[in-house]
Amino acid sequence: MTATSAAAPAPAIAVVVPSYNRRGPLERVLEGLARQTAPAGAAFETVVVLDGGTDDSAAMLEQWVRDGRLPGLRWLAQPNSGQAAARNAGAAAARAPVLLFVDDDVVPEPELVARHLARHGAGERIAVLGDCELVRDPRRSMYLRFVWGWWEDLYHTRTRPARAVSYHDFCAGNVSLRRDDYLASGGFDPAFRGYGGEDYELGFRLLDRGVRFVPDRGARGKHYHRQTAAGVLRTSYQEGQADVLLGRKHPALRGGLRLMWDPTEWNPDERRYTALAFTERGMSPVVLRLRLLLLALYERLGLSRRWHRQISLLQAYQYTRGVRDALGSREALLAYRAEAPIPLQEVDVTHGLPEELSSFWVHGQSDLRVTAHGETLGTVHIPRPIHAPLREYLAELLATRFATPLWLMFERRGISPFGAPPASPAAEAAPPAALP
Amino acid sequence: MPTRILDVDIAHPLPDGWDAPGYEEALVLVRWHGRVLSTLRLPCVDGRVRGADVRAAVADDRATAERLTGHALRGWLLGGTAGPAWEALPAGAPSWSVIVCTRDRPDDLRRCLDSLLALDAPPGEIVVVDNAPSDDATARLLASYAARRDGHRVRYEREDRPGLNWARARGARVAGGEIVAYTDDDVVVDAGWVARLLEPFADPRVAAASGLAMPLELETEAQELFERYGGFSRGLRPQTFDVLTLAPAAAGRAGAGANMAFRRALVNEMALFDVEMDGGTVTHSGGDTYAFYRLLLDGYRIAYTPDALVWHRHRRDLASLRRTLYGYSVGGFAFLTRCLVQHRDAEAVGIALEWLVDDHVRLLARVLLRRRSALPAGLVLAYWRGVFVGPVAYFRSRRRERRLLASPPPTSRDTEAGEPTGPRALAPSKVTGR
Repeated sequence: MTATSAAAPAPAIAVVVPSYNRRGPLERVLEGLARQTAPAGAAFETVVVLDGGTDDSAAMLEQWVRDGRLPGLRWLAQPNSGQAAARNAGAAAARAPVLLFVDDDVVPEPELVARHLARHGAGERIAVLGDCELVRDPRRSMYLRFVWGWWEDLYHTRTRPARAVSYHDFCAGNVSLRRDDYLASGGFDPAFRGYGGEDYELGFRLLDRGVRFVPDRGARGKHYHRQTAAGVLRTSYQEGQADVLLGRKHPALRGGLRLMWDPTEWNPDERRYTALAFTERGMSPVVLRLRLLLLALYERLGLSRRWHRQISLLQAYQYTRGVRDALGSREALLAYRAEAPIPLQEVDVTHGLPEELSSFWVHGQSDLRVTAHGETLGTVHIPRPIHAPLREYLAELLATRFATPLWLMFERRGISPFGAPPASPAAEAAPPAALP
Repeated sequence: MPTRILDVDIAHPLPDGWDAPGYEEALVLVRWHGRVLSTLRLPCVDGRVRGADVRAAVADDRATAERLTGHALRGWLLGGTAGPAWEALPAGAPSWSVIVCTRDRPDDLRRCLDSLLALDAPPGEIVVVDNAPSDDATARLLASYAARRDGHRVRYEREDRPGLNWARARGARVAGGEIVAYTDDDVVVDAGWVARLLEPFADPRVAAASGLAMPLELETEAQELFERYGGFSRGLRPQTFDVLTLAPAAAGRAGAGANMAFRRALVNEMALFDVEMDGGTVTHSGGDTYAFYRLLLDGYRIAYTPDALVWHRHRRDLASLRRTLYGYSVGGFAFLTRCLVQHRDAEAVGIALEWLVDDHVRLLARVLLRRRSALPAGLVLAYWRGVFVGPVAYFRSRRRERRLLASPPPTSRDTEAGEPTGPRALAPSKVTGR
């Protein structure tokens, strides 16, 4: 099943593309790879892994290999076993010392491979997190409007200084790492068969082994994201299942999973929907169908906030349903939650917020103990994962929810956060120039 | 009747008082290291505003105290030392151009340019777009600036097609800055204006920013009425709007043309300033609101920062005020019609009804009930007339636009007389959050 070009010195980097029934998008990815500034074949090889699938992707790939349009292109096929297994198979077939994983809906910009390569030039133990620019449908579907925002925020905040690194930063759609780091970590866990979780899980193990994450917005791909409302909900269900798996494998991560979020922060509707997800029968398919119709209507009428509310509730429902099906019962969830204490972390504000907050927990709810001058001022609860730049987020949190203990500390220590008034009485109090 | 305007920074010691001969009242803008804390109204005693009164009012006002302590705490937490941590713009701040669209108001423009040249910000350019002038007064004024030492920063551009949005679009095409900040010629900007307006752009999803417009003077009844009914105030709380927090059709709440900034690339790529909208066209106003609308629809954020401050000289006579209010009404309803017809945005209907009930109906009821707070009947009638003219104006502007785009070479043509620089597009009280 493998067509290999003539034996040559191993290229510096291998692009591994897993694909499942996406012939059209996959071909666009190949076209993107054929347009790289880095020479195909010499600098990089390409390994496409067809994960089962029933379309004519194989014939298309065979044609590409025959035409020689992308030197160094190889492909293999396996019975359907999930993205994680497909990436592992691709990595095993690759010869280069650096692996670059690109999804079949991420079309590489010409600089992509060269940027990844350059970052790995020094041979450091890093994973380079590339950037995916979401290509928006000209019709601007409601879903893409919101996903685009989420996406942009993620890629932006990830590059901000003083933002704590999270295993959630590791998205396998456009990421590269050294092959030996990959092998030492054991690669992707094929137990994650549905959507999501497998890249986060590997990300956690890599961080654990001391691999540093380096985001690079210049290593860009164009992400062609297609999704229907029903597809979004299926994804949410699988995310619920993946989260349970993730927490089972790494109990330390449980505290940050969405299924651990503080339910007192939920609004009544969210509670109702999650409760419904834990009933035996769940939501009746007819009701779900009707809700999807309602979504379509909201989209048509441009009622974006209603649309967003509705789909968020349905996503919460589906996610919880996935959690329930993976765990079995509500009691099992309660036990699961009880086994994972809410992480407690500390921040010392003796000289304001520290510049470096790198060990800070950003993945989910946690308690934050605030100290200054060696004394504890109190504890403040962080209910949800933090996506904002950390220092700004904490400054806002403490200024609003922790003001009183801080003021008491100022008083005890004789600190004035207002600063001393200037010595010269600059009595600037005139209205702007040129009044009649 | 007239009101003295004061700008007081409580980071500095206050003087004993300010002279205010002939004024009964003072409107005090309270700031701390340039950050806006609150506005207070105080009586004048013996033709003076006493420093002690201001101090007492500041100390008593809860909102002032909350903002002050919030600023101080955040500053201390982020800066690690006492005092504010925000004086300078961070390194890597985007480059900027200020665009002033003007028409036949050289005296106002001179004051505006003088304040722009005194801006406390890394250097950027100032582009004056002279929109279909009736004489060369503006060109002559600009020539006088060219002779000044810092005059090279001021550029003159002429746009002969009448219409505020033509001028805005022209400005963005010729400007060099990554961010284009717009203000009107009847405005005096605060020294920190540009620096504060640039801050929110650190977030790449922020496509536009807007700021606070305070009255430069409140000398006449028309100015007082404008401040109360047509004023720019969007409150003193910084806010970030996106499609989740603000219905796009209520985009007027996000800011106004006298004090707004955009990413230039977006202005040009999206052709944000629709040419046949706003001052100088049949729609009179609404071009700024429509630009905000399109950005919200596309998932961008708009940041409102009251600390980015300008002072606007409201029109002094009632006739101008009537034209202005009429223009808002026409522009607002033309805009909402457009949302509904062109974008199939059902929310526009709700917003229109809300505005109508909260503003038009209430103002009319006050007139009919002969309340003391009633506006002059003529103003209210003009405001109502705009409700019916607005939708018609939208369709007329569309026809005109199609014709224009079909025949590229622009020629001068008649337009209805309107405020060339309508200060605000959409003035519904609910929509603006007053």
